[in-house]
Amino acid sequence: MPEAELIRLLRADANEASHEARALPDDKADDRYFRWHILKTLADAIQAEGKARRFSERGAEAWGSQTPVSLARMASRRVGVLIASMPDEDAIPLLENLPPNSKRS
Amino acid sequence: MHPDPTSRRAPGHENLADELRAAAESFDELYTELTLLQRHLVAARRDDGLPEAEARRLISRVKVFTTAAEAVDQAGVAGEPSQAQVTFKALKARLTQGDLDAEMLLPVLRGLPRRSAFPLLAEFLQAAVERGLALEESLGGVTLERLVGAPMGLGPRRAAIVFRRAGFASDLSPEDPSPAQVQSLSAALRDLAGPQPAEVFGHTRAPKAPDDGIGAADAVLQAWRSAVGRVTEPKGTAVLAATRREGWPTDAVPTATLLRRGRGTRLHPRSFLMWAIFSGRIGRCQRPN
Repeated sequence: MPEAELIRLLRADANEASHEARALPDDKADDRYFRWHILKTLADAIQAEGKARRFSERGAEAWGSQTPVSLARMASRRVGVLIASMPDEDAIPLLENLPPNSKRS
Repeated sequence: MHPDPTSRRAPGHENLADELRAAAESFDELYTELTLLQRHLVAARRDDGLPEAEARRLISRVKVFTTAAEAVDQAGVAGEPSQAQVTFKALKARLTQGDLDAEMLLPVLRGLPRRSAFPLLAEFLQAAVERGLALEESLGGVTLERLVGAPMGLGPRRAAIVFRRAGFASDLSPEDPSPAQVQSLSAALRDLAGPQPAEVFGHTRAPKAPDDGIGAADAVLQAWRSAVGRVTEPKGTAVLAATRREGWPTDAVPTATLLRRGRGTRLHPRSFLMWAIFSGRIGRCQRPN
C-alpha cells in the first residue's frame, strides 16, 4: 500500500475513533480515545519518517522550515510514544530486536 | 494507563518549553516580590505610626527595582551598552553602595543566571571586605550557602562546587570566613561565572545536530528514549540498553526508519495495531477491534 494511502486510512480511522468516543461516552470511550491516540501518533510517525527520507534525498533548498534531522527526531519521538503506550511484556521483546544484527547486551 | 496524547510536543519545542517555563518562573518570582513590595508601600502610606527606620528600609528596597528599571529604560533608548550590562551596573551600585543588605541581595540573585549573579555576589563580598566588615555582620541572617546557591538553576549541591573551587576544607563555607577566604570565594565566583565544561555544573546544551542528519543518529535515539519515559521503568531500561548496543546506523534518517519499522513478534489485544505496524502487517489490519 502506498504510504500516502496508508496515512490517509490511519487518519480516517483515528478521526472515526475520536468521533465515536465523543458521540458515545460509554465505558468503551476510553479505549476509543486510546485507539485515536495510537492511530494518530502512528500516522504522524510514518508521515514524518517518509518526509525525512524524501528530504534527505533532496537538496537543502527544498527543505523549508523542516529538515531531515528534525523530521527524523519527530518520527522517533512518535515511535517512542507508541512504545510507551504498550505494555512492558509486548514492548520489551520489540526492543530486544533493536538494532537488528547486533550483539545483545 | 493511557498516556496523555496532548502531552506530546513537536520536535525542537522541548528546549523552548523549558526555557519558557524557566523564564515564567523567574518572572513570577520577581512579580511576586514587586507585588508584595507594592502592598507594603500602600500599607506604609496609610500607616502614620510607621517607624522611620522601617520606612527607609522599604524605600531602599523599592529603589533597587526602580533604579534597575530606569537603567534598562535608558539602555533601550541609547542602545548601548547592553541591557544586561546596564542592569548589572545598576544592581551593583545599589547593592554595594550604602548599607550592605544580604536580604535585599538574595531575591535579586534568584532572578539572575549564574553569569550575572556570581559577579554581583563577588562584588558584594568584595565590598564587605574593603569596608573591614565581618561577613556575619554584612550577611545578617542570610548564610553564604543560600547566597551562592540562589542564582537560577543552582542550589545547595552546585553551591558546594563553588566552595570547593574556593579551596574551602569542606563543601560548606566556614561559619566565620577570614577576609582571605572571602577574597578566594569572590575569585571563585568570578571564575565560575563564565562558560564551564559539563563536568563542573552538569547539564549543558548538546551541540545542534546537522540539518541533513549526517552522523546524527544519537539525536534521534535521544528523542526516542525521552519519549518512551524514565529509565527506572522496565521499558525505559530496555530502551536505554537498546540505544547502547552496536549496530545502529550513523545517520539520523536511517535510524528513524529503523525505529519506525522495527521488528515485532508478539501479539497482545491492546497492542495489536502496533504489533501490526512493527511487523509490517498494517495493510491487512486497518480496523483492529
